Amino acid sequence: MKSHKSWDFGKSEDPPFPQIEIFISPHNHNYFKSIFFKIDTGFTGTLGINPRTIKALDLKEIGSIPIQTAIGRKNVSLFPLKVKNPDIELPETLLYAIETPRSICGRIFLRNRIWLLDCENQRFHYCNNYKKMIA
Amino acid sequence: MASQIFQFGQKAFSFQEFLQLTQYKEKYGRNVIAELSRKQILEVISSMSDKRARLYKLRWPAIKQLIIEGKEDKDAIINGLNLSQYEHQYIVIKNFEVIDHDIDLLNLVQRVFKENIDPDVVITNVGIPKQMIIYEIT
Repeated sequence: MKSHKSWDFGKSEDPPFPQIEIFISPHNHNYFKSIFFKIDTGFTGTLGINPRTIKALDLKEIGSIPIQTAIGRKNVSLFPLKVKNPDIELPETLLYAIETPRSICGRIFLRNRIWLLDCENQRFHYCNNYKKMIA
Repeated sequence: MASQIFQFGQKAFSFQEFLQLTQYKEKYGRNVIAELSRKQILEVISSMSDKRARLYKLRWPAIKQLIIEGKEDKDAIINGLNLSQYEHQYIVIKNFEVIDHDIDLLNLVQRVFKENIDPDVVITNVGIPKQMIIYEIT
């Protein structure tokens, strides 16, 4: 199976973790910055962005919402932003992100695409060819 | 914070109307009004009919900021606005009025920000959202 694109696992943790590169911009600008997001299937949102990146991109809060965490409910800030990644056939799209301690990519972002978690070779693949094959 | 005060919304109100609504004793009511004015949540305006009379009005930019900060004041504001028809939903509020709502946060954000951002809007929730985001690690 040939995949369109894959990314090396992040090595800043042991064991290494799957990650994906996404280009993000404040929703009212067009300066996209490449950010690597940890794949987190325990996160049911779109994207979580760490405070350092929020500051660097000057993202503006537009609200606050509660989220459910392992230790209870808490309010987090909400940011509108634009994302894109031609490698996964993702055109410029308006999304929301919440503030999280580290940048994570959640299930809403991952849905409707096929991914391969290759732990042996420590690579995370986008597998659109497989989708065409099983269609 | 006196959550009932948010029922006034954009409407200017007198001190007597405030006491009537909250049932506070006069002295305590004056302290509350002074505190809200100090925090710039209230502005003082003159009555059109009687220049000597003082009226108070909630300042939407300050209220919006309290909702964004998401602390306990947020719940008082949302409770005070009587938004029970939007229970378990995400809402977009501008000047105390709900201008859009949805149980799906992504749909709501994509509708609201399709055009240029309106700096006066704020997105939040009423009650526990039906589709609440789950994040396993804190």
